[in-house]
Amino acid sequence: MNRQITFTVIGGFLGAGKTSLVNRVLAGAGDIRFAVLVNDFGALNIDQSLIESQDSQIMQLSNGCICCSLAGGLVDAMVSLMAYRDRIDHILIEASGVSYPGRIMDFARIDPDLRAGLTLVLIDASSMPGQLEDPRLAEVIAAQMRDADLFLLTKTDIAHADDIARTRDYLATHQAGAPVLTARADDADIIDMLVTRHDLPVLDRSMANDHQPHPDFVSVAMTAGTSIDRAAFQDACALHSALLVRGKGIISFVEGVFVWQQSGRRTEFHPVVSDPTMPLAAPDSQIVLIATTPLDEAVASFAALGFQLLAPESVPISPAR
Amino acid sequence: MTKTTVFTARQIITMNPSRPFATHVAVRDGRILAAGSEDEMAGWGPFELNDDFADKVLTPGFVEGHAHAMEGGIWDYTYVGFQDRWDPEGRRWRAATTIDEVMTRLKEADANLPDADTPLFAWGLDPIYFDGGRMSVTHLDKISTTRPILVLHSNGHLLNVNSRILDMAGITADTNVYGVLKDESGKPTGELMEMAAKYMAYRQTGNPFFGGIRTPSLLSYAKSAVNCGVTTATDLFATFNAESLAAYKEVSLMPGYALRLMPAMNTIEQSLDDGLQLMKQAMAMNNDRLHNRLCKVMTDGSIQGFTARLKWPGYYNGKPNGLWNMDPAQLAELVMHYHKAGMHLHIHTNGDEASEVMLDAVEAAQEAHYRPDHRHTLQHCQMADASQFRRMRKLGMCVNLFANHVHYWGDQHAGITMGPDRARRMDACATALREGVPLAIHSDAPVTPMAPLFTAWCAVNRLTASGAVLGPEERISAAAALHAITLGAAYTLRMDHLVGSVEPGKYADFAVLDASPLDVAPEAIRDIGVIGTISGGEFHAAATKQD
Repeated sequence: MNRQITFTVIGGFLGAGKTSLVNRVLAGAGDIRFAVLVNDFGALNIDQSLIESQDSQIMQLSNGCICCSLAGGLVDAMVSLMAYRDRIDHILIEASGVSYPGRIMDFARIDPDLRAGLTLVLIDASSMPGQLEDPRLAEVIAAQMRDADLFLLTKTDIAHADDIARTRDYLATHQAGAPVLTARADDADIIDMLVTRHDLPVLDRSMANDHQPHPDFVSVAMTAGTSIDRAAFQDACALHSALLVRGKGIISFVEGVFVWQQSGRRTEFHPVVSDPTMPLAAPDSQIVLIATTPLDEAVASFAALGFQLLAPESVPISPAR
Repeated sequence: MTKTTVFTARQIITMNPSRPFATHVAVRDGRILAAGSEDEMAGWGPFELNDDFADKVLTPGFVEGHAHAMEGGIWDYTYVGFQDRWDPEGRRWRAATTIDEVMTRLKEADANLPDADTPLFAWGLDPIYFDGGRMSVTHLDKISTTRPILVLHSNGHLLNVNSRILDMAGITADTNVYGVLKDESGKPTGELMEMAAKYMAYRQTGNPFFGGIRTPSLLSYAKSAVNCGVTTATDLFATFNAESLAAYKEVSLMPGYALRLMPAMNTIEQSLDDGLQLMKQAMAMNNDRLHNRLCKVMTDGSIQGFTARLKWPGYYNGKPNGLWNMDPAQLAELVMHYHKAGMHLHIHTNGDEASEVMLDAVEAAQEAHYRPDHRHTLQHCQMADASQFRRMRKLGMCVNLFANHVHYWGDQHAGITMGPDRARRMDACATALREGVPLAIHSDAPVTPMAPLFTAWCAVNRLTASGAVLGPEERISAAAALHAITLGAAYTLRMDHLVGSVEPGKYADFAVLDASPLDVAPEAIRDIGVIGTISGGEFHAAATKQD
């Protein structure tokens, strides 16, 4: 199969922080060639000296990233953008506030050149209670609840405690299975973990190094020496999806060795093809689980499948403070 | 001394209340000098009498307040709609009233293409008339399996494609994506809806229906206008970029260009501040034939596509509420920004909830930055009720109703989308006038054909395609309809001091007709022949209608 471009959708209403998030992705892109589709070029923090070329629709940056305007509509923007597909690793869509995130992720479900990535919905804790009372937004909010793999609750620093509580209550009762992270939309650690560094290869136990220690997270690493039942593993992922902000690993299933990526509600497996550059140890399975709350229940589920907890000192990742 | 020409006609309907009718009109420097009797012309000095139209009727040149210049260029592709249409050259494109007839049109188009790989694009398909019959990949494969074939539906939301495109796009029975329609056996039917599926088709062929306007389309657009008596027309959803602005300017300065153009900038294609900059730049290009002033705002979708935003109780058939084009809060911010900067907004609203959101937005803008005469206009505004019209009047707004819809989709609105009760008040011209809202009516060409006399016929008769009268109480008089396609439309465009009536000082723009819309039977208004137009005193003949 051809190289696939990861496709990430950022949903949420105006003011929830989507543009801040896109700016953080561009700032932290490193070697990954992002194409971001945004409503307004002007809102992006782009050093003028980085702009290599620009027309009304597409702006190419010297670091390899591309910014594309959604003004003429997503369909035509994507058609134009895919002319550059050999120069893109990851497409990030800043969805309009009233779009249904799942309808946009359909692009990745239909186009074999794209790989469905994360659907991240930003919720502004200071505005959500008001939005919930606006019947004009009911369908959009329902779609956000249905489509998000993971929610980022933003603006909790300026929101009233009552509004935060109402928003949390709503999320707890109107969606199931997607974790709710509380963070600023430009939090570098979180954006890197969820988007920017998401696709870095998972090779061995040192994969835990992919993530900088973060004060808000707990992480555990587990290992297994026997083949794992894939269906049971998927059940465990689904059972704990609301807890798992991120999970990743290399797993020996009965049917073969797979890379596992979990982001909130989204589970993804890729078969590991035999590649001499992949220093895969053996049939050992290794996974890392990351959450904001203690992971005891998830650990118990994965233990039941044959995984054992690695001693904390062997895991180069900080425990929660 | 400059030349004075006096046109004489059987009747000149002036729309000037001080002198409603005349037999002669004097023109100098492209403007109207005076209207009246031949004797009354004499005092202006020597003149040349033009009696070419002595047995014709002159009206003010018609003003099309909501159409798209794409009407000029779309004839590069094959028309497969349900009604006969005439292209700018006067060629008749026969109605395709059954799937077989659609196939015949496509076969003809296929035979005219140079090789076996060139894509075939068609537009205007409307299976809503086919009694449940749907076009499928099987049909299109009978035309060709080697060239991509793409047929755009008239509602703009659906596409039909052949197996060549499905193969190129990798769409199979295993494709489980919303919008890829399948038959009972699970195979894709070739009908694609929603963004992702349409994207996948256009990725293979390019989207021929997309992109800013260019000179050839604008030249054809003027021909279409002449054919139906229009002398001032909007391009009401215009991409403003260097190329399109240059094209508007170029045609407007061409000797003999027959149209006064009013592009309306699509406000969501750039940031708010960039939008104002672009408008400034565009307005600096203005001349007698180019009037950049309007800004377009899109709020919701279409009623027959079930994407319009409706108030309770929603769609008659229970479909979920439609889609916002933009967050209502963001729309309100946009209205505030352009209103404050003194711009003139033309706001697309189809459903009554969208209209309400925009009434709220204009009210907030007026409270913050009062403007006595902004003339912001709700466009389409098909479901507005009397209370919304009252708010429009209080807020100083105008309305441009989509009268053609009553004919083209009125039966579907009564039966499927709105139900018989609310359908009666669709495009409520009589209510608008009763409540004192300045009224225009429009075609939204190329969605329906540009032909103001047909649009007037719709507003006067409200006859649906099946022959039923939809909401007889909303019918208006022929005089009111004529006003709505001339001075009324001009008012909504802030052009009523320049066009829309035959009055001294205004541009010498006329429609030349073979009968008076005020004299023929109401049901015959659409059959009145258009001889051509006079624009700035110059006659332009309508294309001869060919079969």
